Amino acid sequence: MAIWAAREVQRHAGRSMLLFACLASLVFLIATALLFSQALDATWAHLLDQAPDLVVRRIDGGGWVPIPADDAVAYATGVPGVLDPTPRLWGVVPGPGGPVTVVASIAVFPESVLNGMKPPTIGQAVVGQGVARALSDKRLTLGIGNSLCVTVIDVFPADTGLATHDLVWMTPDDARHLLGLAPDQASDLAVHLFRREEEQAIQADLAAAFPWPVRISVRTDSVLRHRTRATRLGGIAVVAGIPALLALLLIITGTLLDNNGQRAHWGLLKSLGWTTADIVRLQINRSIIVGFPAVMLGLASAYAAVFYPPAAGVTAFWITGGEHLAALTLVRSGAAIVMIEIAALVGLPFLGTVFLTCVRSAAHSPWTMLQADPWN
Amino acid sequence: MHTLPEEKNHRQPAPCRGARCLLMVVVSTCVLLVLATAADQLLRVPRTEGSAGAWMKAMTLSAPALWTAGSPMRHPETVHPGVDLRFSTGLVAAP
Repeated sequence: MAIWAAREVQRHAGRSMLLFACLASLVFLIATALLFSQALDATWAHLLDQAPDLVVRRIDGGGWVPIPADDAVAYATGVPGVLDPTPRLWGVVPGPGGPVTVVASIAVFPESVLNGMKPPTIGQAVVGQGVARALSDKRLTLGIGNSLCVTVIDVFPADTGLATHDLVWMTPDDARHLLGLAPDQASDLAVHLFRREEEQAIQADLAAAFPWPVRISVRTDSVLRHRTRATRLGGIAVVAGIPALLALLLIITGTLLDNNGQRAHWGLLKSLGWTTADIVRLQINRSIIVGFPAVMLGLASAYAAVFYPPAAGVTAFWITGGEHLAALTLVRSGAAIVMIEIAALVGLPFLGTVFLTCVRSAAHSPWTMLQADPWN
Repeated sequence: MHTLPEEKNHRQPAPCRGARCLLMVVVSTCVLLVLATAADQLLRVPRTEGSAGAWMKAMTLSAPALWTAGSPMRHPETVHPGVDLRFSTGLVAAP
């Protein structure tokens, strides 16, 4: 029966190709958006799990103010439940290709993180892929007021792009000079908690522990913001895909199955001894031969477009309208489930439509069906 | 060698070489795509997920770098709750 179905596909090569292209493009469009939103959600959850639970920023009437690093650590340590308060040295400064994030760390990074990379010394910097692309030589000039010129000694690996794309990592002294901070000052304070569930409750204690007004941002707010964004992207994709799916079903019903020439051919087969079940089976097999590879091709293309750089960066730019990350690497866990769901979302209605239309058309007597021949 | 009359008169069904070939192409393409995707899922997942997270933790960064430096999505700690960015488009790029 499969051979017969393949012959049917060959007999209507043009229609089969049209159906193949229609199905593959529909699956590609829906799967790209849904896989991307799922991958963004998984990636953000994975990355934000590494972020500090709370960030304490000192403020006054004019906005942000640097904090005295040692005093801030002492104040935060006195609050029960607070672990490892870390003064952060960072800021956004103008770079050669737009704003960049300058970071410096007082702590020494373990070799497992550095992975053979040399930390910068005075006058040196390690930059992300986005900053490196804007450089013509190894000299990097940053800032406008307290401008600083550093030598780029290394570039962060491409697969760390989601964390390091716009980073310029330099020594604390260089960062303080560039950001206009005194030697004992830091940008803000990152706080980890003994119990993450306490992050809402501990804010009041933490704010009261400092002698100046502070504003505390919470990790879960960031998680929620990112999750909402990812869910919204997925929702838009589904809403956009429903009319496309309905249009596809109409195309199949209208052009492929329910036409007089087809019914006359089926009538001929029935008069030769085929049963209605045989004809339905033939059409189902034919639809599987065209539909299954189309769905698989659409899914595989979407998978490549979401998870393989540089196509992944283009897809992210297209869907989020944000920064184009050439080497974007998203987390793949959970992608298989989404792909199975999309295959079912498109494949089952497609096969259902073929089955119902075919049963309705093929259940007549052979004579009635032969009369439907357009040459009669 | 003589052939039996039954064999001589027996009609073979149409060979359908093109259809068989089409069927083989379809099946092998599907199997190849499934295997490639499954292999990518199984082999590449553990290798690529760790490095960005390790740098995120080491630098104590608050958000991933999918958006431009200085934007609220990149640096959520810079957003003041009293300023609604929906009505001040310039502030979105320069907090």
